[in-house]
Amino acid sequence: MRFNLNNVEIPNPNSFVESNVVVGDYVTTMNGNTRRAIHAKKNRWALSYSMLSETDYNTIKDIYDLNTSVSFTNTDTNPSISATVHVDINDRSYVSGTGEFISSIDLVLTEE
Amino acid sequence: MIDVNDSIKSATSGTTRSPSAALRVCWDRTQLTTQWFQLDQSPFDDEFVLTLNTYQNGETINEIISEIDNFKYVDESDYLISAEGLEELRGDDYQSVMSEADIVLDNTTQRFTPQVNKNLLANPDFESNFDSWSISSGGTIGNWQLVGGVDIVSGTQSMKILNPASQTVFIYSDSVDVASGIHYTASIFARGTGNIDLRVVAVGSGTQVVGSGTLSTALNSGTVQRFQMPYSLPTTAKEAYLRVGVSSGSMIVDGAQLEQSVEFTSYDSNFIGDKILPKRPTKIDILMLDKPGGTGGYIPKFSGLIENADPNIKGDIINIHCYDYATELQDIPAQSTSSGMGMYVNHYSHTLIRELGYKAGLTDGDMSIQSGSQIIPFAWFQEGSTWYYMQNIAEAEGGRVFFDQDGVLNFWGADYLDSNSGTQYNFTFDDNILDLNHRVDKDVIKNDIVVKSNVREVQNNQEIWSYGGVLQLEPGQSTEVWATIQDQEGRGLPCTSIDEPSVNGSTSYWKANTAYDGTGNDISSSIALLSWYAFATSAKMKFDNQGGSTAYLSIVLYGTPAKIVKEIEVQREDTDSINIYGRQTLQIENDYITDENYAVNTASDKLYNLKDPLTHVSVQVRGVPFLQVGDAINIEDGWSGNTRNLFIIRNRWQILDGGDFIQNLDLEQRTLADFFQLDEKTFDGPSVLQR
Repeated sequence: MRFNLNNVEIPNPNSFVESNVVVGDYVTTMNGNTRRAIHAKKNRWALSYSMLSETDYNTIKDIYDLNTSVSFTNTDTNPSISATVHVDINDRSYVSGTGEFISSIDLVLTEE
Repeated sequence: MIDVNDSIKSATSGTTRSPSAALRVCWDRTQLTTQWFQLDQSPFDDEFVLTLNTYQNGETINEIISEIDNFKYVDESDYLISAEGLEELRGDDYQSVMSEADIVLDNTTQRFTPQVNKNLLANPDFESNFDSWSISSGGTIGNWQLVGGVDIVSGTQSMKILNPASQTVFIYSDSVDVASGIHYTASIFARGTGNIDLRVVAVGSGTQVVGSGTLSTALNSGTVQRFQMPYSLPTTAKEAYLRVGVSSGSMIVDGAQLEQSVEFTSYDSNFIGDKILPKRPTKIDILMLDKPGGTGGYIPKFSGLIENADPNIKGDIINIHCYDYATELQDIPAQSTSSGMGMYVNHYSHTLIRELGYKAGLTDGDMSIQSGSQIIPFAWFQEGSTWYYMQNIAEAEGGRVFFDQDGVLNFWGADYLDSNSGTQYNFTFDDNILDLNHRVDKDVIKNDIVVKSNVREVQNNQEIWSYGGVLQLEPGQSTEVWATIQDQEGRGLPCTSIDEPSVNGSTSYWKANTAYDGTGNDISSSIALLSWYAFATSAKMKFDNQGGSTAYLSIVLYGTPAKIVKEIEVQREDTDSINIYGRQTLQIENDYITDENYAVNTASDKLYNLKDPLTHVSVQVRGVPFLQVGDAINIEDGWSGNTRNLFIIRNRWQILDGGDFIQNLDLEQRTLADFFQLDEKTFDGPSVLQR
């Protein structure tokens, strides 16, 4: 599986989670029946990296710093991904004792 | 109820549905044909045209964004976070409707922040052509191409520049006006190979380049970067342009920006910042689908004008409040001399409504007027607004006047209103009622109803004014005389016509003698009437003594006054309700109510509807966007499962971020068309049962 973010190939993550996000709301009638409004169904992808080199981290960080939504694709047909996403990076932690900065991050991509 | 197709009805009532809102705004009030309302005095109204693409001043604009009604609207739905609205029946007899709306828009791009347009460049994202850009003399047209599908910042197109040579090949924007001696920043998004050369070029008088700031750096082939070049313009600069090129490689660029700033700010391809102004025509539609991308359709929900716009910079949102065109008509006076003295004799109510619409600047295409049944013997549009008189006439008719969701003025006569009062929707605890309250409020209880009217009718031609005493006029002297026409109680007496006086005229006349007491010689013919102006309750005339003797004038005016011929005062009260809640009086005063039987019916109707607090219900429901105030609905009004038929008098609707379309309806019991009232006089002879 190869992922491209903003047309740039990024490393394969240690774990990859695809979430379904329903944009909408429930309402409850007087008799307790549930009704639903659905505005859209979106995806969210969480890519976890535990040993990311400084170079690879900077590649992702440069895209993150664009402050715009970007394209996200993969080369596999299952799952087939082609979306425009907002980019978030959760806490960056460092692995000590190495010659360069080795980072652990969670890259969260939310479909536009 | 707004007429909608079965697909929308089905989507609305489904257990799962996909509601959303659409927003259109005409930011510059540009109209396609004739004016509908008077433009405000803002200078923006005169010259600015809203366009899809950006243009520089003086550039030819030949695009039209859309054509809806009379205005050119822009679809702002992509920015819409939430929309809320209120429709409310107004008036003692619910004879009119007022509506308003509140909108919250996403302003993260600063599109809706009032400002001078920060991006001075036209066609900054190369979406469909190279307009407003030129190619350097060292390049050829073959070096540029639109790159479909490589959208690096905005839209669907970008520009690709190929130049394997070491010499920089560049494109440059049209020059724009600038202020000298301050910072401007050029910025552009780019990726590619080789080196980018980005410049701000300052131009002085003519085409003389007086300075430039240059950024030259390597491109990244994989990652899009935003490059910037801040530059303090020389004091001699009058114009500036952005120049960008590539050497020893190829480059894809998008999102060029030249702005007055010490560094780049968020990219802005829009052209809206200087048009965030009040009184912009606005429309809101509700899109109701059975599922995202499913079947259903749009329901027009609101049409009006922006009252105020409140950008919240920290929250990156803008709150906009809108009012409907009825509020606009409250500021348009009805008084006009375009139709005689602004007086109308024996006209149907719908004719008068249409006439008031004309006075407000509406055309037949802006109005949907149903026939009324009441003939108003005399109407005089004096000092009030057009909306004020429309409401009074609608009340006298027992009808309703309102601007609908498309911005069209509607008038429903009593018969039309009655025939459209059938039940429009069923609300149940199972399906769509989310909350319900019986509103017990002393203020909504009315158990003593009084209807009053002073009915005027136009009289035959008769004496309406005479000069109080004798007017002395020396030879060669001219004098101006004002005649103020009043009734016996000293109230202004409107006249549909006032005859111009003449010497010894058969109606209005003057007579002049040489003696104060009316004796001596008759010298009436030596007096000339130099000018004559007749108004509704007055007349102005100027006399000149062209003889050789002192003249003593008496003046008499004839006209057709609209006198008060009948004073209607009808009272109805409910003793049981008064004993419980105390006397609470509703007084309806409307001089266009000319029929005493109609006044009796009105009082009886109001008493029946308002004497009992339990007839007032507030209910929150899963919204039905095609319902309107005045519609009748069936609701389950308690756990017993009983249903009641009530009218919507207030409709608050909302569609919040990610939420369902919700309505809060205030409901009242109202009598329908088949309410009968016995004639009060006698039960035999000519008396009849009447509605």
